[in-house]
Amino acid sequence: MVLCFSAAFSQTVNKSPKVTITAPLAGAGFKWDTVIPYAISVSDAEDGNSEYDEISNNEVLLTVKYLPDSPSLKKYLLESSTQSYEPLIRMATSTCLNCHASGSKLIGPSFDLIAQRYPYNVQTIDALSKKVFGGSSGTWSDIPMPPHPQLKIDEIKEMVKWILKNGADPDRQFVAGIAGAFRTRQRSVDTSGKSVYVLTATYTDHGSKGSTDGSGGKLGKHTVVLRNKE
Amino acid sequence: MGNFKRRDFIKNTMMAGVGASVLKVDSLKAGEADEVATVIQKSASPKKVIVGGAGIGGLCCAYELMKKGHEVVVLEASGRHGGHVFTVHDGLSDGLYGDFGQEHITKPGYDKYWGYIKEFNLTALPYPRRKNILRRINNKFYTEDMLKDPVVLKQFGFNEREVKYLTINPWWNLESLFVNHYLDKFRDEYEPFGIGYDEFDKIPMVDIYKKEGASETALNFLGGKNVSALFSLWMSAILKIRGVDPFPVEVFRLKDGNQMLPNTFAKRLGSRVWLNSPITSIHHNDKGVTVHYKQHNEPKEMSADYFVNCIPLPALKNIPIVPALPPERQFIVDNIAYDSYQRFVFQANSKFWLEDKLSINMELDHPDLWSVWQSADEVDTHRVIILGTGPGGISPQRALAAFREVYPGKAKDTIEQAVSRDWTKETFSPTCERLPFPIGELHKFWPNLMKPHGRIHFAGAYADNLNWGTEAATRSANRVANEIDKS
Repeated sequence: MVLCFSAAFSQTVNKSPKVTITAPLAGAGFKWDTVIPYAISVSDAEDGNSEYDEISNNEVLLTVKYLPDSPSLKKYLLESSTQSYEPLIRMATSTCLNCHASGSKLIGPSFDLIAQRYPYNVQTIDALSKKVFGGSSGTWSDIPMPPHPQLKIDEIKEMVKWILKNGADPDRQFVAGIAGAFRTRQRSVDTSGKSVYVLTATYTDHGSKGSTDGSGGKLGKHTVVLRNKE
Repeated sequence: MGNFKRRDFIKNTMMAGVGASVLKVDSLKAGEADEVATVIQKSASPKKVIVGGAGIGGLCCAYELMKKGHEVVVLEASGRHGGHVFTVHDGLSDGLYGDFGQEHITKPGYDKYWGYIKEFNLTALPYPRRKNILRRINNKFYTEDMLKDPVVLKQFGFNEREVKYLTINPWWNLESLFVNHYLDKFRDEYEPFGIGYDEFDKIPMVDIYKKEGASETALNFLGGKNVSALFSLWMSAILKIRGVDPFPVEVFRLKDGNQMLPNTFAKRLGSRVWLNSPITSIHHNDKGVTVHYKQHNEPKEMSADYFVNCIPLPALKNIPIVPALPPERQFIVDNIAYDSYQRFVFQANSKFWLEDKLSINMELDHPDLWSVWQSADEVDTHRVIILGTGPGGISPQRALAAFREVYPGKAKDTIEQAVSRDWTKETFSPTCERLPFPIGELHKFWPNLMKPHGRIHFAGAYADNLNWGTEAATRSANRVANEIDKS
């Protein structure tokens, strides 16, 4: 009995998810002003496999970053290794991304439009957080934003901070889902074939029941770099 | 592409390509469609046409093309046809059902739709959802009679002219007081430009209301701050030309659910409708199109003379088109905006509102639940279905709590279950109806929105002048079928 118990006990260490960008393939080039479809596969010992719809589509995130040259690639990869995705993941697992996206208007305004309009300061963060919590209408269009009483005001503040900090960069898009597409930018004048797109897919797992390793979810991540080929 | 290696992918697509060129679309057996009498004409110059998207627009266009003697295949990404026209029986008791998507049709209006009702011998039922509406305004419910009462209207703050108008005209017709005399200049419902109003595209509709002397109260009810005056007047004019009220009260739905129409199109089309076949890229030149798609996860391709896009544009945006659309056309694909919502279905075991002598047609002005009404009333049961509309992301129980919070009667409701369809979360058809174009940008969308680009045509709910979903879908589908037939 004691042996069985300890065997079961030892299995509750949460394993990391395996995240793979299956398209486009690493090393594939990109052309200007082109739609590039992407696909991500996720498999996790506890959560399941995206191939069998066992991974929540909204929890798989892709960051698409344009960089004008290779030297900035190293810097970006270093910086983004500490990038926090938590507020974005929370937004994706809530309902935010049903109506808001980065770079293009869905039902509500895009993150970049929000970040362009509002400065990053305490007053704005408070005001916007109240809007998200209590609902709002008439700011961007006649379509109301519903209230979000299921979210805590503190976590809304983190989301607002994240949008204001990360939304304004026109060269970085965030998309949720295991498949989709993004459009590359128009031809850039100051590059000589050195520019790149960096695709980073992430998935944070749900841990294992009765997890003993003290961690919450574990992050799985895969990065693919596309170089300009025209 | 899943886990395919690139070499396998090329091999597979080449084989699929050979297969596609050998496969004749008209050699397909139409399955059960053979049993029903669809008269297929002989076309003098039959074309091969691939239709993208099996919503009502795609199915309608394919059906018309088939009837005119053309070879047609409909490629649908999801595992069901019908798109945003969606009737659900599952999980509801006694044979009750709910229309989770398309709501109703009007008469007059919906000419093509009514034509199909007759052609397919479907039954349209009167749908009294817009009669005796109780409207919640500033936390209080008003009957239609109350909203004709000068005392009530004055309390709201309407001016004398508005009070006089609303005592003899329906509440929903307030806008007509300010815009009616602008509308006669529109002669052709597809031509908003060149009638002297071009400059109105640069101002919001609220400016017209103000110019016409609308009170602050009227401005609050009418809105119009974010919509172009030209666009708004044009939409009103289209309805006037068609003889349709701004808020038609006499509306109808199909017996057994609105999905009966897409179901019938699909049945007539038989095996020409391919489900779970998402398009992955569209290649085109002046001679024809080649569409790459997946079928049962296998990459394939098929060539044809024309491609008809009946995929909502936010989804088309994710499909590479080679060569790319010119910038002015890509602008339309990138910038058309849609609304989306959630449909709630409450099943109750009695018409509890009758105890309170109330109508269940209510506009609730609640952020979690906007409106409710009864449906499926022809089903032989004491149970009832109440449909509701609200925003995405709200749980059915929260919407039900909203209903209970504001329900104006004393009777305890008998709602047994609450379910919903949250369209905002759907992978393939999250979009409902097209939203107005931004102020000052009508010329960027119209009329290019409807025009073909080479061998690619555009139909569906987004591709007509007025944005009423199934009306626009059936009209644009017929327009494109005729264009291709005559080409």
